[in-house]
Amino acid sequence: MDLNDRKLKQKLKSEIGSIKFSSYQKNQLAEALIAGQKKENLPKRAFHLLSEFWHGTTEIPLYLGAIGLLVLILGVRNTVDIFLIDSESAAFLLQQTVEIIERSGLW
Amino acid sequence: MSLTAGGSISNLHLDSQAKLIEGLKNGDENAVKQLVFLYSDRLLQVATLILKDQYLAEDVVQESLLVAINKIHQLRGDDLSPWLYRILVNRCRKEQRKKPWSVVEYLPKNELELVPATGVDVERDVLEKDTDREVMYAIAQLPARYREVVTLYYLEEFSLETIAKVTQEPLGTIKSRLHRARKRLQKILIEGGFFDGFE
Repeated sequence: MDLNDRKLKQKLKSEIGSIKFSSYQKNQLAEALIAGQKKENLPKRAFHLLSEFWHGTTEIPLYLGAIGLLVLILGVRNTVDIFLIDSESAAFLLQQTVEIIERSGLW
Repeated sequence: MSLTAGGSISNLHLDSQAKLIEGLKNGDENAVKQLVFLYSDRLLQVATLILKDQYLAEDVVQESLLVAINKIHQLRGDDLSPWLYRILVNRCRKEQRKKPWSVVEYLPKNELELVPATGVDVERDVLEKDTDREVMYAIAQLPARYREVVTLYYLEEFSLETIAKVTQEPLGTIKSRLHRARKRLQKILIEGGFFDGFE
């Protein structure tokens, strides 16, 4: 470590020395942590676990995310419905297709 | 460990990190208090330099300590310190992602007096002609990733290997960041007329 590094370290430490928690704040902090620790140890509900996971990975509120997902699912479902037909229609279309192919002499 | 009526720690019997970790794993309240009294100031100083905001740093320290206590079982070995700083740095990064625009432009020393005195955070506090905080002010001008490395190196005096572990970056990246950060610091301090000790 050169002289400049040492000077810089000394100066930085003296400058930032006044930034610290008071004893009162430390006690408050310890109390809050102990309370938080006890809360953490309680058995969790599924929603709480889901919420914890969700907010650990994204800033989007869980409710908003759930609504968005629902809208997306409904949208996809409605789109897919257009292509869905019942079994009778499917059998009819299949029969017609086979007849057309037979008549054309390709098969 | 015994506590005075005011709640402050008067006598620390948990004299090693291993005992402290053991106490935390066992849910010992005194171990939590010891952790706070041993580490909170140092964590606060590091977070303040990285975030440039003391009040936000206080919240981040509290969150980091809570995460550390609740995940203490995930700690491998007895090296509590780098693990704690790793949690802190991750929380700081999370906060920075929320307000990436917080970087300020560098002002030379003679312009500091023109800045209105409204400060509540370190950055503003420093800008308020708090000329005793030249190095803090200079560090505040650095990009976030440089601030992390500089803070851990100059304030905590961590080795480059430990900084790599704390920041979860390759050692080569840390070396180059420190080198570049030093050059920038030097420029800021000399141009601002804060520090003439550089050759």
